[in-house]
Amino acid sequence: MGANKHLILDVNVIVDLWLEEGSSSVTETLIMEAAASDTQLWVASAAMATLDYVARRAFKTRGVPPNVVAEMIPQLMENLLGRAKVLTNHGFEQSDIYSRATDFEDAQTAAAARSLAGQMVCIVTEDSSFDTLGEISKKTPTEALAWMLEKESNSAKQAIPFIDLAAQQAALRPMIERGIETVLRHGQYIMGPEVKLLEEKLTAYTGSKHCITVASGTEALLISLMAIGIQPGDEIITTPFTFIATAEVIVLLGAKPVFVDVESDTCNIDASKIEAAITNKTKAIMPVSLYGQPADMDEINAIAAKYSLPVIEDAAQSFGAEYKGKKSCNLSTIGCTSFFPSKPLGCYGDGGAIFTNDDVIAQACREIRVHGQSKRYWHTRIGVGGRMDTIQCAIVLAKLERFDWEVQRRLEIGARYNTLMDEHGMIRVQQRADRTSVFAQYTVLLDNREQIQGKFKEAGIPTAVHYPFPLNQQPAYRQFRSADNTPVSNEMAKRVMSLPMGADLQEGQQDWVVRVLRSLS
Amino acid sequence: MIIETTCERGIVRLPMELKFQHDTFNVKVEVPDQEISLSPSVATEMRPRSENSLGIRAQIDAILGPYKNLLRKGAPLSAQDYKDIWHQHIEEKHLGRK
Repeated sequence: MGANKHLILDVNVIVDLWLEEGSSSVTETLIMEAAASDTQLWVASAAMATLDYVARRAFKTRGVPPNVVAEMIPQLMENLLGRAKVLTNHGFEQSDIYSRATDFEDAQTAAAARSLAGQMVCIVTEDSSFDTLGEISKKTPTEALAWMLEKESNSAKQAIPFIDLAAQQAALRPMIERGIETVLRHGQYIMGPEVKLLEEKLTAYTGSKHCITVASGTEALLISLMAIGIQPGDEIITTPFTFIATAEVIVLLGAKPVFVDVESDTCNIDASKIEAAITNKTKAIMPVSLYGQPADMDEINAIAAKYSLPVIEDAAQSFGAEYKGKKSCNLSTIGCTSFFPSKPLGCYGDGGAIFTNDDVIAQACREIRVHGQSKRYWHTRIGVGGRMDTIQCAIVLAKLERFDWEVQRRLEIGARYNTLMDEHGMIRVQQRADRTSVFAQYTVLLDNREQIQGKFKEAGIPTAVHYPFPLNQQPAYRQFRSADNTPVSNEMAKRVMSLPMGADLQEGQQDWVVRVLRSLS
Repeated sequence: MIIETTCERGIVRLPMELKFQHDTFNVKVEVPDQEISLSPSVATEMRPRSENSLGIRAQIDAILGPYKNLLRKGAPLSAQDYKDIWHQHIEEKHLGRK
C-alpha cells in the first residue's frame, strides 16, 4: 500500500487500454508493474467526465449499441477506480489555473498533481502537447514504464526523509480529504461524531474498555495523573531517559518525579530498580515504552500491585506495539498515547488518547478533559480544555485504514535494520523476544556520535538524537536529581542516534543508510 | 503449437482460421531484443505478467464481451481526436441548447 512513484493516467491512455489500441499493451504492463512496485496510479477528478463521454462516443462509433455502451462504460469505470485513485481538483485554485493554462482541461490534471507535492509524479499521456502548467513531467506509456522501472537505488539517493509523512499522505490522500471534508460539511468541530467513532475504533484495536481522546500526548499524561488524584508532594516513579513531557506533567501538579535508571540494551526503565525507589509518598509508576517498545510491564505491574499503585504506561511512541500478545496502551491501569504527526499513528497537529479498563478513571478523564464538568456548566472537579479536535480525529481515522499494513512494514523494516546492523557488528537498541516494537525510532549506539551525525548530514541523510540529556540533568529539573543514580541514562544520552524510519522507507534507502553508517563506524 | 505472426503496435493477432476452446487464455510470445525500444536495463527487468495484469485484460475483455472484436476494428484515435470528441460534445450540450 505504500507508494514510491505516482502515475496520473490521461484520458487517451485509458480509452486506448479499453479499446486495446495504441500503447495499450504497454499500459497493461505499466499497471502490472505499478502494482508490483508499489507505484500508485491516479486519475484526476476533472478528467472523469471527459473519460466517460469520450469512451461512450468511441464505443458507439465502433458500432456497439447505445444500450450496451450504457452498461459497459460504468463497468469499465468501476474497474479503473479499483486500480487507480482519484485526485481532487480544488475550487480555490481555479482562477490561478485559468490564468496560466494554455489548455484549461489538461491543466486540471496537472493542478490535481499538486496534492502529491514532494513525490515522484508524472502524467502518462499520448498527447505530446499536453499542458502540464510547467509543473510536472509528462511521459508516454513506454517512457513512463521505463521511468517506473528505474532502479530504486538511483532514486533512493535523491532524498531520505527522517519520517516520510508525504508518502503516507499521498497513499491516503482520498481518505484524508474525505475525512476533513466531512467535518467541514457537518461543522461539529468540537466533539463531533468522528471523536466517538475514533474512540470506538481505538478501544477495539487495543482491547481496552475505554478510550478518551485528548488534545495531545502530554495532555493524556496530565489528565491521567489528575484522574488518579495526584497531589502536591506525591512522588511518581519514572524514567529520566525520555521526552520532557513525562516529567513535566508530574511537576505541573506539584508532585515529584523520582527517576529510576534505564536498561543499557533497551533504554527502557529498569524494572529491577523500581522497588528500591518506592516510598510512602509514591503514588504511581510511569514507565515509558521508549522508541516504540514496551518496558517490562509484567514486572512493573507486579511491583505496583504489591504496593497498590496504579501504573500509567507512557505509550506516546508505542501505539501498535504488543507485549506478550496484548496491545500497548492496554498493559496497565492507564495507557497514554500521542498522535503527534511523527508518531506511528499520527494526526496533522496535536492529539492523544487515554486508555483504561477502569470505569471510574475513565469517567474522571472524560470530565477533566472538558474543564471538569459532569454536565453542562456544572464543574465537579478541576479540569482542563483537553479535547482532541474533530478534524484531527478524522485524520487519525483515515490513517487507521492502512495502520495494520504500516505496523507490519515497521516490523519488517526494523528487523531488516537489525540484521544489517548485526551483520556489521554495529551496536543498536535491542528488542525483547516477548514483545514487539513499532520502531517510532530506530536507534543505534555510537561512541563518536557528533562526528557521525555530521557525516550523515553531508550525505543528505537526516538523523536525530532521542534524547541528548536525561531529564534529571535538565536545568529546570535538577532539583529532582539524586547524585549519579542514573549512570546508564547519562551514558545512553551521549551515544544514541536515530536513523530514518517509517513504513514507506524503501530497501534501497535503508541499504544506503547502513552503508554510510558502516563506512563511518 | 508454435505460430508465426506479426506484432503490430504491440498487438499480436493469431490467424483467424484458428478456432479456440476459450475466449481468453495465456500465450507466451518471444519478442526479438532488437524490437524493444526500452533501455536494456529496463527490458531485462520486464517481469512476466502478474495475476494483476492478466486480471485487467481479462476483466476488460469480460466487460466488452462479444463486442471486443468489433471495437478493435475502428481506426485508432489520435490525441486530437480525443479533444475534438470532447469539444464537440461540450458544444452540443451547452451551445446547442434551445
